[in-house]
Amino acid sequence: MNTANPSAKMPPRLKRRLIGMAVFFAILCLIYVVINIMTDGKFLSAFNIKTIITHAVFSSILAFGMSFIFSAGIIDLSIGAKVLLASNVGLIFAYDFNLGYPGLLLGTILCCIILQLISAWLVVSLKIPSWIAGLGVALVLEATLAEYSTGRIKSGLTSVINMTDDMRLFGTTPVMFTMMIVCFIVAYILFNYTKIGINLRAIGSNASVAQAMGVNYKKSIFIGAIVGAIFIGIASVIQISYNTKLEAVTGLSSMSRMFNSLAAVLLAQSINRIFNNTIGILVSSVVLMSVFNALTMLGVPSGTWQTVVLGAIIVICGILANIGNKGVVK
Amino acid sequence: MRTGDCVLKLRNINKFFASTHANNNISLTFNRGEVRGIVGENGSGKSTLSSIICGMQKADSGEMFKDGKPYAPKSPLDAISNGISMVVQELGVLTQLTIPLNIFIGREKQFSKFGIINTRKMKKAAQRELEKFGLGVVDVDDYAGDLSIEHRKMVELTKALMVDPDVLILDEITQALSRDNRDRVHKVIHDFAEKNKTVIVITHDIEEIVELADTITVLRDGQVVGTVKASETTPDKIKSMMIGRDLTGNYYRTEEEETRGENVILSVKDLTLPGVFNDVSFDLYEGEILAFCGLSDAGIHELGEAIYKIGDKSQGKVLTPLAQKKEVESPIDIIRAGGAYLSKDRDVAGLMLQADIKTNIAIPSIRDLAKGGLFVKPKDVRKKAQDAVDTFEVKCTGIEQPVMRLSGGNKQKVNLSRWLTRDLKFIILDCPTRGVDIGVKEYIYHVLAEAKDKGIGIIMITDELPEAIGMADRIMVMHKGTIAKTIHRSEGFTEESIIEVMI
Repeated sequence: MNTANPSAKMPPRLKRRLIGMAVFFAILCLIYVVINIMTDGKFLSAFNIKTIITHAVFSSILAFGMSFIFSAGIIDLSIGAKVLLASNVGLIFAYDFNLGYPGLLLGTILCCIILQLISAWLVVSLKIPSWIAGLGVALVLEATLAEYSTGRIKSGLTSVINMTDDMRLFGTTPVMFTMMIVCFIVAYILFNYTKIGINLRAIGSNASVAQAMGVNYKKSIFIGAIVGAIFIGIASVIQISYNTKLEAVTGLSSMSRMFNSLAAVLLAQSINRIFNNTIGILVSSVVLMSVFNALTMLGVPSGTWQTVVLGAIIVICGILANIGNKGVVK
Repeated sequence: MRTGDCVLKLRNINKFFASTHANNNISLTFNRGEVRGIVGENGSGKSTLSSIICGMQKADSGEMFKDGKPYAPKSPLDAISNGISMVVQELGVLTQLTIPLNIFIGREKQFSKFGIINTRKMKKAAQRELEKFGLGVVDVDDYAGDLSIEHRKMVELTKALMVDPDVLILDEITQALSRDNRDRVHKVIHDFAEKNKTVIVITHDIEEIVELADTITVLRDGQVVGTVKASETTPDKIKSMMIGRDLTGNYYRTEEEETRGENVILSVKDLTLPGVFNDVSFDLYEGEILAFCGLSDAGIHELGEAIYKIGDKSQGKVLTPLAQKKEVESPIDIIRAGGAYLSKDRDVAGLMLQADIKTNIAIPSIRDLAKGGLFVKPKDVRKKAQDAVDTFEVKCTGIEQPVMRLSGGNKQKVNLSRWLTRDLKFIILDCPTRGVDIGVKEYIYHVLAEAKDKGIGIIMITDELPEAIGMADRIMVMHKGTIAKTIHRSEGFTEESIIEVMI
């Protein structure tokens, strides 16, 4: 505990943060330079940097959305399934209802909001532990999309609607980058400078104390679900626009859709002594994508070994984040 | 100016928890400008009563009147809007939020424009509020989760005072505080009463409340035993009212000479925690009670953590000369050398609140209970727990009862029993009687005296000088991170001589 020192030019916490940031970026630059040398300069080429950031767009926006849900202590494991179902609903609005881009955006985002509100209701009103509710919802949503796919195949159609090139605006780089920047700014303000983010963090600290201090628990959780769902919806639109289609999966495989974002959220939490949570998510998303990119360039097989490295990074970040913390939580 | 007219009236308040009659027909009147102490043993119904007044729970029957009008708060927020504010045991800080957000949550609208909160403005306001009440000892940039228990209480107090309530309820706040911060809170209480406001102080510190309060209400078994003027009573009379019998003499040690064995069982050499304490060296002998006293910045609590090798990494050596491994590097080394440590923050760093009594008692001894180093018989665990509960007279429904359901005093008995039922050589106790009533306190002192007689060395870190004076063989007074003076029992301890060094 530091005592206030009015004569100090810079608050101690800010000073610690700035030093932490400097060290973090110095180490990151060093690693990037080493990887660049190992990949004969390909890693830090303009084209590759663009590729890395492109891949970070989906995971970062999805992670912004997840932060509004997870910060209140709700561990929702159905977000990946929501991405799959909502993006296909968006395509139905866009193509089957001939609503074009407005249909794609509205259909996807509205679907995400409804599904996220259902998840919040299960936790808040029915008192089901969030991770159990999340698994249940994920299974239901996966099965729903699978039924839809089966129905289409029986009708002689493709398993899901394939997006045509004239609808892929949100999957093009300038638009994706713009969306990422806008989402970052909005998430940053909402999370740090509005009642929405503050109340959610208060609930995440201690729900009963927060309620005693005047925080409306249910309302805050539902608002958090809506805000989070909007970001998840935007991420879903970008993802399907980039990929052209998102196929149905079963057996909780949808969770893999949210894994990178989940890792970004966890990494952001582990470096929250250096970076504000929202900035941490953005930084973590880019770092994670660059790690996967570097590993691919270095010939590490995608899938198992890259996942092993990802797991190791999360553990190392957790350790680094706790260096200097007191052994006894006060 | 204190007008003395009635601000809050309770009439026939009753509250049941299953078969326990926690508040039994309580009728009380609180006046403007009055500092009212409410005392009673653990489980006497003090906190239940305060939580009813604060709107945290509802009375089963009875009425309350605020300024002559019926008062039935639905929530703590409702109580605040009726001019009743509190710092109570059950509430706390929001660890993931900064201090300004903790202070202003629920009232952040004043810093908000178009829904965006001006955090800089809020921070300045928080700093102003903390300084206004003389509590500006914390860095407002800190997250509440990074604060010590003491500073958390200061933040909570600022929050409670900021709404300018008519009635301020403080439930066991001062016992978490060091002497300097306690003095700050006393000043706040006096200033508040001078403004014709009412302060209700719930505490176990009888000496403190007799000095601080105008009137004292004593509760026993959920009933009001009586309300007396502080100027017309003594701590002993209050204690007798609390426990329903005369106290049988002094519960502290009576001998004037220090007594101890010859062997050093713990040796601390040049222990330094940069920015907190420097070059602390001492030896602890068999059967010795060595007390540490100091103000909040003296480093006494951090010293305890450093000896036990938790908290920030310290420099210097901690040696256990009689153990196989001489130099201590981790808590495991201390435990293997026959040592133990009790944190000041019992509920967070001491006990596993969700777990039952049995588990809490068995965990430190699991190595001894494990047959062949692996298998633990549930029967042995139960026996160990039951023996400890019986020996330490823990009031509980059984060893399967979750620790969180116990009163503060019984929690501390569990905390102590799990260590003292082991074959200990020494123990580090940080504020061992914090938040326990006079009966449990008496019992703990008795247990410590027995431990001393068995040759167990005791390091007693305490914010309560009477405790150090009453129990210690030696007192080391720390000032700003260094040992300023060592006083031996034979030299005669006095509060004045210790305070002189502390400040």
